[in-house]
Amino acid sequence: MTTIWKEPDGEKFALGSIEEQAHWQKEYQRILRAVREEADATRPAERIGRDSHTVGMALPRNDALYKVRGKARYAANIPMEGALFCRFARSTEAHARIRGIDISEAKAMPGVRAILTADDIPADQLLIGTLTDDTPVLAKDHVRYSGEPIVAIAAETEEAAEAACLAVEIDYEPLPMILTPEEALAPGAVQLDPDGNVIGDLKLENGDIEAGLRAADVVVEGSFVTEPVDHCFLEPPSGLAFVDPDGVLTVMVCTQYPHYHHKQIARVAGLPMEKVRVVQTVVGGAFGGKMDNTVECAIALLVLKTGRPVRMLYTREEVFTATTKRHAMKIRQKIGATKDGRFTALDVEYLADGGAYRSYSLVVGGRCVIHTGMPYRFPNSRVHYVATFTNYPPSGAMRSFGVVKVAFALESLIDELAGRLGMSPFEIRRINGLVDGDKTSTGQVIHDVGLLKTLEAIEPIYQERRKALAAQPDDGLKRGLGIACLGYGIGYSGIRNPSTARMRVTADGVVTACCGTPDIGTGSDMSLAQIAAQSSGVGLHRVRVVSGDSTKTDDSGPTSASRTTYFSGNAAYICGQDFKRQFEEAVARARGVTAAQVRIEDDRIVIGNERLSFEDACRLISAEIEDICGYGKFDPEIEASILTFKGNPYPTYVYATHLVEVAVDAELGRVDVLRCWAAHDAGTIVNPTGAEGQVDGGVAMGIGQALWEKVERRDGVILNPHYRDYLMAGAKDVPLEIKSIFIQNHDRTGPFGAKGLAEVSLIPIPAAIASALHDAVGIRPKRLPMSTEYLLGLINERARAAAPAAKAAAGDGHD
Amino acid sequence: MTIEISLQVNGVSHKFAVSPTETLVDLLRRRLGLTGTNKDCGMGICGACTVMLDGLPVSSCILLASQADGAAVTTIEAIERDGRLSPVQEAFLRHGASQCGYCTPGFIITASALLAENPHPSRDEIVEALKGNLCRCTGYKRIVEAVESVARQGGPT
Amino acid sequence: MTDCRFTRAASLGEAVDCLQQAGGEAHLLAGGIALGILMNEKLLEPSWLIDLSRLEDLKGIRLNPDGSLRIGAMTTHREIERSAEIAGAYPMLIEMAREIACGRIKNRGTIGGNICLADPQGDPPVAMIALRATLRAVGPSGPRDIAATAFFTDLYTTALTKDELLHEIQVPAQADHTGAAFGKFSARRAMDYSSTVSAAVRLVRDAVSGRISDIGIGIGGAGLIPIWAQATEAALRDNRPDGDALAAMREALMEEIEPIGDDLYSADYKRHVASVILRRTLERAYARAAAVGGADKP
Repeated sequence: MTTIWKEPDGEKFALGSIEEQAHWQKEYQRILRAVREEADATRPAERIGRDSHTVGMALPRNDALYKVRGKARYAANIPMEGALFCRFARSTEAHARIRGIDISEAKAMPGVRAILTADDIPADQLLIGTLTDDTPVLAKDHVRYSGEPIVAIAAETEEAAEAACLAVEIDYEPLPMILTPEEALAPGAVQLDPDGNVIGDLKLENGDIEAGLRAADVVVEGSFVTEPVDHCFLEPPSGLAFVDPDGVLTVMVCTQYPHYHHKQIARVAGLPMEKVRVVQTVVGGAFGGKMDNTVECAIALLVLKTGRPVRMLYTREEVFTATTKRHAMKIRQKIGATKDGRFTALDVEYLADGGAYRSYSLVVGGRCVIHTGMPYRFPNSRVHYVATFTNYPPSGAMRSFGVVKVAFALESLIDELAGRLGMSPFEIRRINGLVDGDKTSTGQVIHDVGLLKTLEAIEPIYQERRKALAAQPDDGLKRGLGIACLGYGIGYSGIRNPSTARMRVTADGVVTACCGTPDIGTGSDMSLAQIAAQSSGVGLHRVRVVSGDSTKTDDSGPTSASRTTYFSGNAAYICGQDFKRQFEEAVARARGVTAAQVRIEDDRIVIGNERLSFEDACRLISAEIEDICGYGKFDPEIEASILTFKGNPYPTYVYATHLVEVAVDAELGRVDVLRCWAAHDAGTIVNPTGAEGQVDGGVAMGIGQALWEKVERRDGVILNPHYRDYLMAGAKDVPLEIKSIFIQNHDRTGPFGAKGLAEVSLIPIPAAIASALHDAVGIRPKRLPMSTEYLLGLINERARAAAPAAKAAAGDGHD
Repeated sequence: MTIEISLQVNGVSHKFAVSPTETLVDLLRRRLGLTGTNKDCGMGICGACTVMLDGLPVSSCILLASQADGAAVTTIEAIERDGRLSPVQEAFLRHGASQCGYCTPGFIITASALLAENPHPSRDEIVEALKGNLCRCTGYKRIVEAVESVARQGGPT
Repeated sequence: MTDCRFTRAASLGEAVDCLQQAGGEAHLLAGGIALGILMNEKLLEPSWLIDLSRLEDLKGIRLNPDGSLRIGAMTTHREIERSAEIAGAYPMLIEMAREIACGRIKNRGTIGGNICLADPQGDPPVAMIALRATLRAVGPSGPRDIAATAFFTDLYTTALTKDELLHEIQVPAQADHTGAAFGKFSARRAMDYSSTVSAAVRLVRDAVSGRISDIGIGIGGAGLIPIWAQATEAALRDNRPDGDALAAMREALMEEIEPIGDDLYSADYKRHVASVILRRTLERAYARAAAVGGADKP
């Protein structure tokens, strides 16, 4: 049975009738105009009113129009008559052999339409993955974490599917569990993966570490521990699959990378690629957590099995127990410097808990290795990263791919080092910070480095707050300031990852830009529209970006690694230029003039002294308008194997300095982050509204990760699979005084000079808070999250250590 | 057993036969197709499913449909008026207070109820009213600023 | 799924009759907050829901001429937080109501439901202990008064019998020179539920000596039940809250609380937090008592 996709009024949004669509677009344009008029009041005269030139303007996003009206079609909101609902029966064991699966009772339950186990999938189609296909769609005879899907059931209702899952009998033979990387590496440990327990063992050395340490006048070292973190996107993984009228298996799903699922589903289902379409729905947050397979393969297979549409929506508990997490990591680090503050050596070891399958562990590892020491010059360094399997949910990608922990350790030690040398935290960073022409640890020569400018932007604020704090009346709280920096590479680590864009126009003047990387809630479609409009010269109001559809766009990689503005932005820029040239040539042909005499300029077509509206020009060239197809591909040369780590792993880097102000209740160990200033060199800012929104959100996430967020695990089980006990920041927990400062440091390789931003605003926050805590109460936290109890312990420890000295000084030997 | 309930949803009267354990969010989403009310935690914590019950924000995921008997329910779909965004909706759009958007309807319902009761809340009162709605994208700042901008204008009309 | 009965009680008597018939197998539907959460968590599958929403007798706040307060069990946290009567006479209850969850929950959640849940983390139970409230139950044999200090008997267990329900809360009039305060510790600034520690203190300050002549203390999140800190009260009674008395208070408190370590905090840390929160709350209550004096009160 083929079910027909019956929703004519938009896939991502319930747009309503044609009249309604026109009405609401008018409303949006009215608001956009009002915002622009307000902005124009403060803009240079030459830019006022130029509808094509909007890069750098703070503009409201088109998609938000539908979001504020409740019209966003997250997969669970897509109407589809007759859709079955899918649920997984999941492993209750963290590590076991499956001796048998009895589905007879479940099969007989009311409403159950299909039951899928690994036996229904040919063995060579069963495994999926990111870099390596190592993860079964459904566990076959071996389960590696509690929560791993074993059986997928499609039933008439959610309740029926759930009841049937409870009726599945699985006979387990429990196996010894591996709960930490140390256990995974121990001799004689049970082997979790056919290839052993090590996911990755990565090394990078520069110079002579021993000589570097010998050359140091001061060496500081520390062991840091970080706990696993959940993405907490508010929309649980969800999807809807069906066969469309052309017989194409269509999977609509919230994802960061539709083209990845396209390939995986085709392989798992044994279908040719053209018989599968993956459409990205509106994504309710992702942060790296919507890169791996969750619902996709199961619902696709169940559609084929039942001939009915199948929908799936994880529960919040499933999100916590069965989706990827940020790696728990242990870091041992040592840095050395001379008396005058020059770094001589950096020695780091990472031990990461990769969970049950590979997911993005190697990518996280590669990025951590490359970013160790960033954004500073270390003449001698040694980095060693090991990730192992354990019997917990796979650790995967999450905002910054692990670099937040790299920065936590490094920036904390730099702060300590500055203290030991009697230097200001700014001075030590200025001495060692990367500048134009410097070489990174992979030997890459870098340009347009705005690190020192971000330090310069923050330092006067720091001084001013220092004075203000000194004048602060005593209210029982201890206040402190802390800074931390970052350098962050844009895009995949050391692998080419091109983006493409295509631009066409209809005879009535509507321009469509098809971009490969999807908008996952960040507003990238809006930024790309601004870039495409400005590059081609057409008005922003007529540019519609289409993204996130495997049939409408090329595979341009995922929206991750802060790469969309830069990679897809460059593709949109190149594409806009190509479109402009083709359009101008067509007009020239129609008018019988040379192409050089025609140009698109601010949404008009200039031919000598004549000016045509864009619509009139489209009519003029209507005979060949369909031949116009602007194309842009951005594919910078990137090379750095994760075996050698030599070369150019990223085309460009973002830099930042963050300053936080904290207040500490030293009797309880309680911390409030009162203020935050975040200076970024993210190149040109395409849409400041979107950019500041990214920074605010990153800071809030950073505060949560610094102070509360922790996936609590014991004996193979996640103990806090809900927001009740997994604490993310609420409106009262974050400062409303978050000040974004953008150093508009034009990047010579970026679209209009832009780089990227999304992940980076999170990275310095935990380190900056740790340094502020030292400033406030003299402690050096080395764990994430820094719970109140942990902090109180450090405060008390310090008081105890200080007590004998104070007594001795007072000449008091009595107790 | 089933219970007969009658309730107004977005100004329209409805009668339903519901099971005693059916939740309001399921009634709204499944029976009325009002999917603007999103579902997440199911424990009244995240606020994504917030609707107004007789003008007051409630968590529709833990509210039984039977508890809405005789009440007037307002969902995000009825916040816009006569083809225009409400001031709160327009402020969210202008201030970039909606990113992924999943929490947005819950925030808009909560903010609209606050402003209906108190048209000129202070920043602290706004934060207090919004403290129970989770957002992972915006860091709350722009949401608070959006509501503040309406408070300065004089509340929803 | 098992079928669930539903009764919308038209009178208190009917509600009690249903409870009696059900023999402990029914659940009362008041605000429905805990019920909804437990049902969604699949921790509870009710076989009979008795809806109390139509019982006007369970609603309302009344300040009696003698200064005592009556709060119907179905009064919402929102109604308490916004009650002018309560704000005037029992400001500690406003302070308490502010600490509860968030507006959305307070709009539905009821004080009676919260008290009967008997959650050791709950805010109203400790406030009622400190205020020496009387909880009036109603059952087949009529009303029965239970002191708040004796109401919480075990984890999630109260002194109510299977066929009783909570009718109203009676808070005695506060003596002259009374000060009261509510304090709570949580990791975040709002919405924390697990791992919170709270203290409610009501005290009477002798205007001449400055000593505490009467005191009530409830401690939340520090054991299996909301705790009546009797020995701690005794340590402070007839003392000023300073030096030795505070040391004695701390010692007594350590004896009578039994916090349970959880995923967030160890039992030892919770002990420490309880003592700090109690001391701070006591200081606030004492300062208020000194400020209100006696003459200001009607």
